[in-house]
Amino acid sequence: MNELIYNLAVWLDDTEWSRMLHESYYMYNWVESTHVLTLMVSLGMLFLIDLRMLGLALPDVPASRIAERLNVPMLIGFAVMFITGTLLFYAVPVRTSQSLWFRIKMGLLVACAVNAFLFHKRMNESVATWDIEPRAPSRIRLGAMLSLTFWSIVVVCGRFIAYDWFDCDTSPNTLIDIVSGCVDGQTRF
Amino acid sequence: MTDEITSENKNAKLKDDQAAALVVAQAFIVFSAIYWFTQIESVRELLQLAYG
Amino acid sequence: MNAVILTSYPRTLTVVAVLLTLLMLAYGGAMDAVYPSLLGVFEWLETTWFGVIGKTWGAAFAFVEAVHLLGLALLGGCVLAGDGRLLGVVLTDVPVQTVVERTHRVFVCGLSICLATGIFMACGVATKIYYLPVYWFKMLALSAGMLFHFQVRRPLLGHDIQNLNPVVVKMVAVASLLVWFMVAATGRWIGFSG
Repeated sequence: MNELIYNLAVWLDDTEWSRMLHESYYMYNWVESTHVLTLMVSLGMLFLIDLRMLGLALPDVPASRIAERLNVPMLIGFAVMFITGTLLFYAVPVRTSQSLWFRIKMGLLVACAVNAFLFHKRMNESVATWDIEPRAPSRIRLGAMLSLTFWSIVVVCGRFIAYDWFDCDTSPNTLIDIVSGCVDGQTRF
Repeated sequence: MTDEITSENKNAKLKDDQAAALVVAQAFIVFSAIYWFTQIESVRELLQLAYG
Repeated sequence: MNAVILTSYPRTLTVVAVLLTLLMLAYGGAMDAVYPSLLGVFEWLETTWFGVIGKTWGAAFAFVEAVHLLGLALLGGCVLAGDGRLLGVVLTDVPVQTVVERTHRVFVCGLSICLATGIFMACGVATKIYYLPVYWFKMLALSAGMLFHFQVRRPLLGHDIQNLNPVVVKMVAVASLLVWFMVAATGRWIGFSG
């Protein structure tokens, strides 16, 4: 499996556009900056929705209204995050696919998606009964807490990808190397 | 009488706050426009020097 | 007549004076005069506890960077929701005053997180950022943004929105978005410089 990921990453790395993007000072940094600054749109809206459920933000506005109205800018933000994130991966595919932090981040993103799905399902089922309460019921609050926690760790992991603490070397032998997906005798990093 | 003075004061304060907001907002918008224009222009010139 | 202007427009006159001072600092040579004497302060910052931890413990620095970003997300979310409401783009069916007032509290939390983590980070790389024009520009934009938020935007929106000129309100929203975008963008660029 790791070998397949590695080969795929090497293939991506060999494409002309990947090299161009990686080597372009302005283009790469602009894509990276857009990825980071769009946090304000995507996570900014998400945090407001989650904090509303916990009763910490806009407690006197109906919860469903906050969730519905801020959903659109949040999703636009996440779309931009996804596009710029994919480009960042494409620019440095081998190192990123073998980054421990990137792998944790991807796992957590799946967890975030599942949590968001359950959160919305539960909210839509019961919101009529607690819409104007300053705090949502405990099940919904748990979802909001999980969302805040997962996304915060996603940001931390995202930031950690930039650091080379656990980068692969030519002879992988530690547990971290195995989890990171380092391939024995790999020539590309 | 007192009511009149308070409402006059309130009105004066509103005028002052609004004028302050107008001055600063205008300054920020104009400054941002110039700043980002020159930033973009300088990068464009740099890239033109590098790649023609 | 002059006396009337002085007494009737204290806030306007103050902000004009502050704006001119900030411009002087940035472009009028005032910064050049104080700049050399600040090097000592920045060298000292690196010797503080924050500076030593930031320089020697890479993981702690990276973690604080991430928390800085989370604070930014919170701050940016509040700015976008508040100014978006003033522009009539988001939460249009919630009263302006409610959105502005409630997001302000969260905004203060986000700003506090950013300031606390920002000071820590600045200590860790003090002698690097001292030489970066973009760092000074960010500090200028941040000061302008904070003064604008607390001394101009908030007092203005404390009035009944019905009595305010809608054009001024919209200009305030645009200016607020621009200044916080400037702070965030120049902040990100510090990492790419030096």
